[in-house]
Amino acid sequence: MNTVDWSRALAGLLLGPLLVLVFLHPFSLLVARIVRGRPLPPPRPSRRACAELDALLGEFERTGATAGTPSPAPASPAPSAEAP
Amino acid sequence: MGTTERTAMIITAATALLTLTLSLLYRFTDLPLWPRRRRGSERPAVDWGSAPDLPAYSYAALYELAVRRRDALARAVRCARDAGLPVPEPLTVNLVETRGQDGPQEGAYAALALSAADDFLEDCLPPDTVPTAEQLAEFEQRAGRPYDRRAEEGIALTDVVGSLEVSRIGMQALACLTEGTALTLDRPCFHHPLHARGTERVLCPPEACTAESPEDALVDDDFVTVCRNCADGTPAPLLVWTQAGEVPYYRTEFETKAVFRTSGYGAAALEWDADDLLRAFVEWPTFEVDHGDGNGNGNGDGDDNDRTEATA
Repeated sequence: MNTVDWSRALAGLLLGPLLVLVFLHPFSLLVARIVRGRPLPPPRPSRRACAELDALLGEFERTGATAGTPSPAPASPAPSAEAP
Repeated sequence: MGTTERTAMIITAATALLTLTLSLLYRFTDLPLWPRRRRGSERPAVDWGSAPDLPAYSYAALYELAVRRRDALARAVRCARDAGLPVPEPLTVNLVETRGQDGPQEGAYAALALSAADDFLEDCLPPDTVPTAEQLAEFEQRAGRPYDRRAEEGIALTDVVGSLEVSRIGMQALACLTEGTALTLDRPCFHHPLHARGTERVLCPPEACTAESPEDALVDDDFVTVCRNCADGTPAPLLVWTQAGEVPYYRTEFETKAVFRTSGYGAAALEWDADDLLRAFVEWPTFEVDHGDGNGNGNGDGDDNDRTEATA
C-alpha cells in the first residue's frame, strides 16, 4: 500500500496560485483580448473609481449644475455703513 | 509517478483552478468576493445648489457646506486619477504651462480648484474653535484692538464663499473632462455669489467702482453678471461684518481678500477664462494681469495704470 508524503504533496497549495500568477492569468487575459477583438475592460479599482466619480458628478448635475436656481428674496437691508 | 506526486498535482490543479476563477471574476465582474466596508452609503449628501437653502447664510452653516464641497471635490479628483483621467497632482501643476498645452486642461483646472479651496478654507476660522487667552492677547497686541469674533468671521466669510465657488468650478471641470468638452465658466451673481447664477449682464454698480486706490478698483469691465432677481429688483449683496458694521464684500478693504472684490468671484472679470480666474485665486497676490489689450491674456507688458494686481 502506497502512503502519501503530505509534506511534499501540500506544496501544491503554493504551486497552484504561483502557476496562476505567472502563467494562467496573463494567458487568460491574452485569450480574452483576442477573442473579444477589442481592449479589455478596465480593472476593478478603475471601474469602482469611475462609478464613484459618476455618482459624485451625478449629484453635482442634479443639485448644482443648473443655472436656474431661484435666488433668495432680499432679506437684508441695504448696506448703511462703509468699510473701516 | 508515485502517489505523493499524483496527490500534489491534484492539489495544484484544484488550487490553480480556484485561484484562476477568483482572479477572473475579480478582473471582469463586480461581484463582491469578500465583505467590503460600506463607504458609499456613508458619504454625506452635498448640496451643490447655487443658492443653498441655509438659514440666513450663517457663517457656521456656510463653513460646513464649504468643507463638504471641498471634501467631495477632493474625492472626485482622487477618483478621476484612479480612473486614469489626466488630473495632475496639485503640487505638480505648473500654472504657467496650463495654457496652450496639448490635450484637455480641465484636469489641471480641477486640481487647481481643489488647491484653491484648500487654501481658502485653511485661512478660515472654524466656527467651533475657541481662541485661548494667549491667542487673544497676541491678537490684541498685533491688531491693536480687542478680539471680535464676529468681525473675524466676517473677514473669513469671503474665503468661505470663495471656497464654495471654486469647488463648483472644480466639479464643472471634472464634468467637462469626462464629457470631453471645454470648460466654460458659469459665472455667479456679482452682488452675492450664493444667489442664482449670473445669467444677466448689467452695468457695474457705481458703489463697487469707487475704490480709493486705482489698484483696488475692479477690472476694467463695464459689465458684471448678476442673477435675474438682482437684475430686476433691488440687489441684495453679500454683506460682510466689519468693525463699522455690515458692508458689501466688494466694499471691504481687507488687502488679502482683494482678489474677491477685484474679480467679483468671476462675475466682474468677464474676459477672464477659467485659467485666468483660477490662477488669480491660487497665485494671488503675485498674480498680475494686463487688461490694456482688452483680451485678458495676462501677458503683463502693459501700462502700469491698466494693471490690476494685489496690494497685499
